[in-house]
Amino acid sequence: MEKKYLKIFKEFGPSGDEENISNYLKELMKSFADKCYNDVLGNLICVKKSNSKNARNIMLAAHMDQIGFIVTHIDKKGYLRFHSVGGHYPYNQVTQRVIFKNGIKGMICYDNEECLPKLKIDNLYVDIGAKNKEAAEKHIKIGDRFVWDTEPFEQFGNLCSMALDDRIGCLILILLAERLKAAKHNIYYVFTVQEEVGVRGAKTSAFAIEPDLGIALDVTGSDDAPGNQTKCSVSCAMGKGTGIKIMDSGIIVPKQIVDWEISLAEKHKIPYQREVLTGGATDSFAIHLTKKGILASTLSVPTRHVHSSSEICSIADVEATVKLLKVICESEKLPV
Amino acid sequence: MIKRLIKLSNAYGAAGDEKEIRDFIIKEIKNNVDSLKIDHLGSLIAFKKGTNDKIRVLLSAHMDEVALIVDKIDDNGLLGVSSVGGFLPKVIPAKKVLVGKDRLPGAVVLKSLHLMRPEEREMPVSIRGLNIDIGAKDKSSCNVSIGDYVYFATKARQQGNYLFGKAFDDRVGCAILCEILKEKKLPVSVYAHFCAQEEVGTRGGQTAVFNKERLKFNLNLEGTTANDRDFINDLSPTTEIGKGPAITIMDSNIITNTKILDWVQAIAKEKKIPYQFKRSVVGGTDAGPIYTSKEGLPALNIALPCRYIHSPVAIISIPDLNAMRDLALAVVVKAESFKIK
Amino acid sequence: MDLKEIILKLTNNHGVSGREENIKEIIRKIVEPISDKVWTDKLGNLFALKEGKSKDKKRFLISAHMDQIGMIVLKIEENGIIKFHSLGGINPLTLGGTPVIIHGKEKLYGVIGLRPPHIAREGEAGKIGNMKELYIDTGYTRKELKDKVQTGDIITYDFETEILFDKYPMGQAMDNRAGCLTLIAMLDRLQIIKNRHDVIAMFSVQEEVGLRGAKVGTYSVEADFGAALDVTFADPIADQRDTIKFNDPGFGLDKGPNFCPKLREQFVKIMDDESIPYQDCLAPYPGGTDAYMMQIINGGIPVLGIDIPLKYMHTPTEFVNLTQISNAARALAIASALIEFPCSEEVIK
Repeated sequence: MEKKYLKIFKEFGPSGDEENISNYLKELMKSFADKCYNDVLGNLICVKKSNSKNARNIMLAAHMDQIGFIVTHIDKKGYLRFHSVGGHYPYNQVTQRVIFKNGIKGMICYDNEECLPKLKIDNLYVDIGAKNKEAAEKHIKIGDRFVWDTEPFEQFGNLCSMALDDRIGCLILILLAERLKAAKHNIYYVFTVQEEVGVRGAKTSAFAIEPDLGIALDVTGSDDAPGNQTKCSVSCAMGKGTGIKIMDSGIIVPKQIVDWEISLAEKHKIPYQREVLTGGATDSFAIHLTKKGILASTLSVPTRHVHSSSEICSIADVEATVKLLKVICESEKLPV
Repeated sequence: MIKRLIKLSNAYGAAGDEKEIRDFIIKEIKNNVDSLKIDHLGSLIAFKKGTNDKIRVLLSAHMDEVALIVDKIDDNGLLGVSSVGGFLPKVIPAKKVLVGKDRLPGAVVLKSLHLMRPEEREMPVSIRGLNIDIGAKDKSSCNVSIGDYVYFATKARQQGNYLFGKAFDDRVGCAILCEILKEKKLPVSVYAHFCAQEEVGTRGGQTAVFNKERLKFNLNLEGTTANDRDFINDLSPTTEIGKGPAITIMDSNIITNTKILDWVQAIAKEKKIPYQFKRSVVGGTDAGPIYTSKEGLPALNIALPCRYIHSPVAIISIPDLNAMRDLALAVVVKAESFKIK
Repeated sequence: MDLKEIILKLTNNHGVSGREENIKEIIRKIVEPISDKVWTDKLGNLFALKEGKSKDKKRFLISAHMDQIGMIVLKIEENGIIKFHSLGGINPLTLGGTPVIIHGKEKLYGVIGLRPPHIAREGEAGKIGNMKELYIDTGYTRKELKDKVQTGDIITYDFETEILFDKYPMGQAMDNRAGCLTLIAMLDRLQIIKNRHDVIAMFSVQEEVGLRGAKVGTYSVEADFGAALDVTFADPIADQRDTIKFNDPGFGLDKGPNFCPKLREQFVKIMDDESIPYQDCLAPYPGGTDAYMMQIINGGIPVLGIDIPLKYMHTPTEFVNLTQISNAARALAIASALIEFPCSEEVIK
């Protein structure tokens, strides 16, 4: 994978502080769009109009925010207490290396061994190696956000990185924009903000755009890690194709959309899987329920270890998703 | 303002029963605003035209307080209650209360300690297990019906620089909004949305953006937790009283835009108004639904630290209150200089 | 109108959240002859309009959700067992040994099988545990199931509705087909009673998964005021609180912050004048019915909450009382002829 694509996974952008990633994505998108702009909440909206007479409006949404942390206190010795921004598992954080927007790095530690069995975020702190409170405060303020500091890599045809959720969706939109030469419809590439704290960016951007069809690109679970045998929570597995969403906790995709997407995938021999996810929602939740109701769906990339600092997905599934999305955008008739 | 706040604190108005508060506010501001209406939720919406009417600021504060509601009347005249808004059950027993429209005095009663079995003394309090006795001899003579509200009979009082009382969450917001509306002339127009039903799920906030035009941003005024008396070691309390109003960076339903945060801090520094940040990310206010309504609206939540919030008596600091009024007013006066991009 | 015949039709046909096409067509056939206009929206809400007769008419939206709770196929395992997930709030305790129908390409019967007592493990006799560990057995192998079942197919209980003592229907999906029945019976009464306001009956979708139909439906209808028709708890085995009585002729009328007092006072007066019985139903918090959305969407409208008492909610054996349903239908029909619109109050213009 090209370096410029891998950089998508490294740009700083926890929910509510998406400036860096937004600027980078704008850079990648600007030559493929007629217009790129940020709205009040910070969503990056890139519009590509179609020349086709019967063009409808399609909104493609991938959220550019990542889960992160927020500093709530700096103690006398210069250690930082924090809270999560988005859904975190406390045990995933122990000894993680983290980075701030200004480049300051640190490491997450826990108070003592007694707290480990029932670990809470309150038991964790960040050590940035500052001498004391005053030294720390020169670089860090209460309310500053930080994220994990890991490097993406490719191996066995898979991609491993933090923030695959949902920079993989952002990558899919970039790849689509590069390949889509003659879309039959007006395409709104929307890189949404604040998905991880309650699908907020998609809510306001869909209200403003009011598309005829909305498709979210996001990750879903993968049912193939050890320990998943009896407790089934998702129908998809990594490497078996793009996930065509039927249901999650935010949306039950209208039957005509599911059937249409499947027929397109079969016609173009694109590997796909029917996806039912028992927990979690994506931007399509907000788009679907906007105003008078908007037909919406999600295409998913099955991913292992979602919301950890090393999420893994298959590059073939990403390819399949881009292909299906391209076919959708090139379809003369939409089922709407 | 202190007098007005004391009156507001002593008045009764839980979610769905805000009439007393609303009537008081109407009386206070009706000569200072250009229009005033009550919507179907019970929210009161005032509009005051400023010198520049192209810019309008949405100010909001909620009128309702946490209270109890009668959900059961026993044959022997005792009442059972549920909460309207969030309470710790343990702050409720052995308090003087007022029941229903006629404000019948009564008490939340507990069995005498002498009569309790040892294991009963250890049992946690639950709202469902509590009874209210208004001295009625039986069900037919108690003159109470299901759905009557029950309020703590707290009277506010001042002691030194501190105010004691109930419902500072969010009568402080209401009192400050009144102050702003009483200014002779504001440089920009303001809508003051006195929200109903915040404590049962930010209902007023969910409707506040609609039927209004040219909104530039929202300033929501609130009461918030101050736990500065019980904090552990070197861990921050959420807020501390006496250190100025608290600005929210993030809570359960908002992440404040960094542009508006920088802007308000610059104003506070320029005017030398003390402020602090709310140092926990729990709780939610009307600013949450307001900033994601429609296409989105920048929103800012400034809250007054209150010790023992959501209990019969809270404590606030009067210098904090004055600082919060000054900051809120400065934000409105400088509204034209706010830029999102 | 024969309420018994209609409730059997409404509850013996399925319409699980998000897949309501089946029940929608059935309701459409019933309401088309008794409405002036019938239409649907993008989420699948069904609307039926009965035009108002007065010049100063307002738009009165009455909602009852037509979806029911159910289950959905997640995955077919190597050995042919079918893993599933709930759609809406299903109590796992109702699932042990339960016969079900999978609505795939064809109707398929199955059972949620559990280990028999002889080989049950220590301490599991009364426990169901996690729903994720349950599965459906159709008898077929995975190979035989290949063209019959796929991920995303809908599952319902295999239970036919009974009518007890000639007036208490008992079966699945009474929540909220009882509300739909009330709405239908109301439309039927409007053939005789002249409604003053435009009455828009909304058979909403996806209530059980988060009031989704009501959210977009309310937005598109642009009503002036409304009412939500749903079921409420009338279990005789509930705890110490005063619950609604199941054998009383009166239906439940919500009282609480969510419900416009001005509208409610008028409604109560109309019922007192017409001697229609009702019971007060306390709701300190905005509840989980369509009223929640109607009150706030796009600025919101004043709403009434009308409750049909129901025993044993979200089980395959829900009970309702036809007398209460009939009274609720009558009350709403008369209200749509008499009620005044409680506009917001201008203190200063």
